[in-house]
Amino acid sequence: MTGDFHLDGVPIRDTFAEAFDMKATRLIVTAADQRWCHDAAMAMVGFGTSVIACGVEIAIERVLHESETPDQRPGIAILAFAVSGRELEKQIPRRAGQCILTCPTASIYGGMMRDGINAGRSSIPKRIPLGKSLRFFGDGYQISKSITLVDEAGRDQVRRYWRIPVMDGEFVCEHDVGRVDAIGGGNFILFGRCLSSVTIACRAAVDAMSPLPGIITPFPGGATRSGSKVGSKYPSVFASTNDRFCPSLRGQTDSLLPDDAAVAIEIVLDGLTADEIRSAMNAGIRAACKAKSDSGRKLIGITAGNYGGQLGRHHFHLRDVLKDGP
Amino acid sequence: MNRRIEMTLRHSIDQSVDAASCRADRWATQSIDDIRRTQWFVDGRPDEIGHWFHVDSYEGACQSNRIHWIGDFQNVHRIGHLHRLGQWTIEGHAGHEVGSCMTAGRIEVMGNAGDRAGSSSGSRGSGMNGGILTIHGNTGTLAGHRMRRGELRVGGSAGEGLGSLMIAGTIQCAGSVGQNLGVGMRRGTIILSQRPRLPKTRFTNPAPLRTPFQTILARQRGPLIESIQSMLHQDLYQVRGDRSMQGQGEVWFPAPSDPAG
Repeated sequence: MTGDFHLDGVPIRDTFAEAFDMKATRLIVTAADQRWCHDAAMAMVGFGTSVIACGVEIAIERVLHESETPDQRPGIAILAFAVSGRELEKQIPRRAGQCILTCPTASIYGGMMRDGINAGRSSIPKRIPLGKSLRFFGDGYQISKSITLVDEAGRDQVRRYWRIPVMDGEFVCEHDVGRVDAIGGGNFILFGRCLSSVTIACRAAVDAMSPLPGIITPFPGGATRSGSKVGSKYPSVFASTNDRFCPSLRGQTDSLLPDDAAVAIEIVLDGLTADEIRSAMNAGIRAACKAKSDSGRKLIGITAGNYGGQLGRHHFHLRDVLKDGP
Repeated sequence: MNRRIEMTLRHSIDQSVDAASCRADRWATQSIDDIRRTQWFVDGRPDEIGHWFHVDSYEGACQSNRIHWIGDFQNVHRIGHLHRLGQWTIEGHAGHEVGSCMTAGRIEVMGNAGDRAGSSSGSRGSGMNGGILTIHGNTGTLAGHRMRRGELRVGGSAGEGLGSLMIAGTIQCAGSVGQNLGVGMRRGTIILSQRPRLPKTRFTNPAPLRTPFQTILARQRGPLIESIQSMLHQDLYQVRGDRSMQGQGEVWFPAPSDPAG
């Protein structure tokens, strides 16, 4: 590959990942035990791989210790990204209503932080309804409680909760949650001579990124094989297969694959800030470059997906991303 | 800049005093001399509070504006009326209608309070509408009457009509309560450290309370009523009412040792 540089012997193409403005929120799901909590969270993040058809890109950010959750029960933090605030306002109450309200013992709260503090309405004024919509399930028996909590900085925070009677007791949720500007579509693409070498590198990359805060990799296993380009020969289809990375189309299309590449897999990540995406890409690419298959095979290249810089205003140049050490 | 104003009573007050004109939100921007010139009403006659208090001010001494009244104020009524800013601490007893119609901020009474704490006052239709009113001692009748929002915390006992005609908000009471508890309440929560006697025509039968909201309430910070805070980690029972008003208010209390009883 021309313009390459190398990391642990793997050629890295000198290009950039093109990412887009999105709106995001963090939700905290809790339940009486870790299993119910996991069940509720998995339902909530189901069918949330891409905004192209799911409306929202949503995944588990991390598992929370009991001491980190509002009601001191086992919890899971979820990050959700959408192309507009309006779409997020549509998706989150719908998913919370069908996946958290329905799950025994589960509750849901806002988890956006500002300056290391769980932020309320005063610091994040743009809100997504939760209990504001779901309360009507209570049929008049629901109870709203506003309570004053003191945050870690000693400031008063008035938080409003809804308590909706359900068959195991009460469903508790916050009135609304804050939404912030965020970035979606950070990515890098792994090339290998065989599926096993790319799979192992891909999993190493996702494992390295998953403990990092503020990012999610919403596709199955954190990766996608169906990287897409904008548009299609069919007028009604606005995203179609990225033919330049398909090994079987080499020769038919202006391929971007290295000559000996048989497999390409793309890792896509969304993040609350550019710095968090940059850190995650750094950790992921470094882990992928170190990984070896059982037969000792490594990746044969890494690149990033972009549209020539015309669509998204966030450009993550791989050389810049990797200039800092691990 | 935030400041702490410390006002020490020079001599005891035997007359009936209306302190509704003493407003922390106004004092926040006034000089100490202006504060001394504030008029309250002693037996219906206006008088400058500077005649009654020794006033000290400490600039930047705290995170929010704080007022400390030191002395016995059991004949001083409507302290903290319409309070909406900062913290007001009364190092002694307070008279009637302390914190009446308050909308935000905090008021803390270290001793007892008179009747109608946190309630409506005069021609105003609703009681406290926000903030936290903490009374470490006992309070008289009709505490939290027509309360609409906020929290009333009573460390001692409460007289008759606690939470009567309550519209919303939260009342905690660690001691005993008088008759007509929550009569006419529409919504809101009353948390008690002992099971109250409630008429079945007005309130439902006790049922176990199972909600993670207990823990959220228990995470609140001061000024707190410790016995109530620790009780929130235990099994609780709940009744709802006032049924005669189609109310959805609730009263929480500890689970009885014999639930059938």
